[in-house]
Amino acid sequence: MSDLLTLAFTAFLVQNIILTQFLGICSFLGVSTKRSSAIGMGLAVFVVITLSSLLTWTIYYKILYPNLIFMRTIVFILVVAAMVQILEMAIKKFSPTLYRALGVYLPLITTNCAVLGVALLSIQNEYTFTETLIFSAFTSLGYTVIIITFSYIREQMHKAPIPAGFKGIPSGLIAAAIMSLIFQGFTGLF
Amino acid sequence: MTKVKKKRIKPKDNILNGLFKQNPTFVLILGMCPTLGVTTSLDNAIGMGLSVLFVLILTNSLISLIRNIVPSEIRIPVYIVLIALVVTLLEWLLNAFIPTLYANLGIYLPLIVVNCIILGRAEAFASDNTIVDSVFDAVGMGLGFTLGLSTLAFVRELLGTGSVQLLRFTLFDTSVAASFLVSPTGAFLTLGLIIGIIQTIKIDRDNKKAAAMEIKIKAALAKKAAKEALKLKEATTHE
Amino acid sequence: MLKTLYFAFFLGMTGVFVTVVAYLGFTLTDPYIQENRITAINNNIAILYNPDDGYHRNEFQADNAYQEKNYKLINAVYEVLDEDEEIFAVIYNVSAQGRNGIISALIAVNPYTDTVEAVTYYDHSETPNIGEKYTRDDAIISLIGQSISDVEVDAIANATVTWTAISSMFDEVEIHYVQEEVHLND
Repeated sequence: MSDLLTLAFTAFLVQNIILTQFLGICSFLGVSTKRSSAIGMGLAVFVVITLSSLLTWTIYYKILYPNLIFMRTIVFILVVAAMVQILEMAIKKFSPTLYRALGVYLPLITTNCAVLGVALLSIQNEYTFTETLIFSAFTSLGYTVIIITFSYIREQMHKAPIPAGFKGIPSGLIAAAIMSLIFQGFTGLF
Repeated sequence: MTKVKKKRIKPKDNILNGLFKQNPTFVLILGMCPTLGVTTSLDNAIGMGLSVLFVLILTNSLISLIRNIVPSEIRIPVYIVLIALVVTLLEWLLNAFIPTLYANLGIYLPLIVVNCIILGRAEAFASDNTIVDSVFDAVGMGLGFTLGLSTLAFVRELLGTGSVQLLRFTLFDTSVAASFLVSPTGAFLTLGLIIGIIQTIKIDRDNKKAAAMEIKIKAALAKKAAKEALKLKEATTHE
Repeated sequence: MLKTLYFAFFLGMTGVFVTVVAYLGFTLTDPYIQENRITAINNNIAILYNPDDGYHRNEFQADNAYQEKNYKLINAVYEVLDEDEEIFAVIYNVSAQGRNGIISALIAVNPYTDTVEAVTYYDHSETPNIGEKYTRDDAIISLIGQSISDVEVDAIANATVTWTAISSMFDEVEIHYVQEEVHLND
């Protein structure tokens, strides 16, 4: 139990997926300019990462292991792409409100490194099913929390007098640097 | 009906375009995960850059080859599978022949599959250009990515560890080091500053260009006005 | 309908092509990858025990023979044989999260006396003059000869994270040593 707790906190804070592992930076920089889009993207990524990691884990150990492990990356990316498609159709059909909130971000998620990254890391670290669940849920929670927090910071930064050359991405990266400095404080907490 | 021939982009321009004008790291801001993740040392950055170059050349030429057979409705899954295949092959090649680089690149190596540069180039360039042009485009973009990564890694390694090493040769050696630059914070900070500086220079140059243009236009207008005035004068004196 | 069938056929052909190429690539590179793994083990053993003196890897040691994959910090366990093909030491290849990155170490344990035989940190990025002090000779000498059931790592000021990492390595080795009954009788 305490192992799972450590795993959860490590995945969420110490090894934060954006600030220390640098996965999903493209969407992080692209979408975090507006609060509403950051919330939509954050939630969509949370759902997709958790579901796809569990799905890829199951496929890896039930179908690919041990004779077809060489197809790992190819199968995983297909699973992620297919899952995003199915999820999009399902949400469209059952909840138009949710679709309006998340729909635009779903297609973007296929090429988000965080999704494939978490799926591959759970296999590489040889996690069990429960560990994969905890790891993927808390890693993606780390993503969601950071991207939403960051959107608030960037909305404020929008009002600040920043030199023209540093507007947008550069100042965003520098703000992320300060934020990752804060998260480095969590190293050694466990 | 005559077929409109598309203007072919010159190989030299094609490569220079990827290297500088549309540099994937500093201008297009694509493929950020490996950019920040592997630039702790120059060796890793160059290894990553060349890996992407290798993948880009293969995928771009493959996709350009099959661009007329693939039905456009299902082209994206086909492209993704082909890219994943090339990346997996590269992964094994590195693991077999350059195991240190394989270990250093870690999770970022299989993640080349979802690198925006690869699918982006397949979609934007290789899917409607000839194989030769696609290869040139891949070389330009791949070298541009390598240039971006190695610039960032050079700065981080030099300032962060006090020395820069390339394949066991020490290029620079000082005793001063700000070790936080090698940490994740340093990655964000260095990249942010470099992109900021490049954008500032660019804006400056654009402003200067615009100013020069304005002066030219003003001069031309003044010339025209003077000419007209002269004409008018001539006309009046004639009378 | 015909179009859908054609798409399915096309995707199927792509799938077959990709699988075949991937399989070929895998079978061609796999021998080299396995060879690299064995070279890496030999190199690791050579760090602590000179192969010229007859120390070598146990070639017949099965993969995961020590259940080491169930232990988070332990990457591998190697049996070191001496000239007479007798087990001379058991080397734990361990790694733990340090202050600036992963610390990787080799810890050799004498399975007859249950003491630490040798320690080396073969990969780390601890801060020079602070955490890095743990990797110096005097710090390592103080570890050698201690009983594996009770290894005490001397604390160095301002380097708690490194201390925690190194202590957790020894703790994990101890747990493994007891749980998997590594001890041998002469």
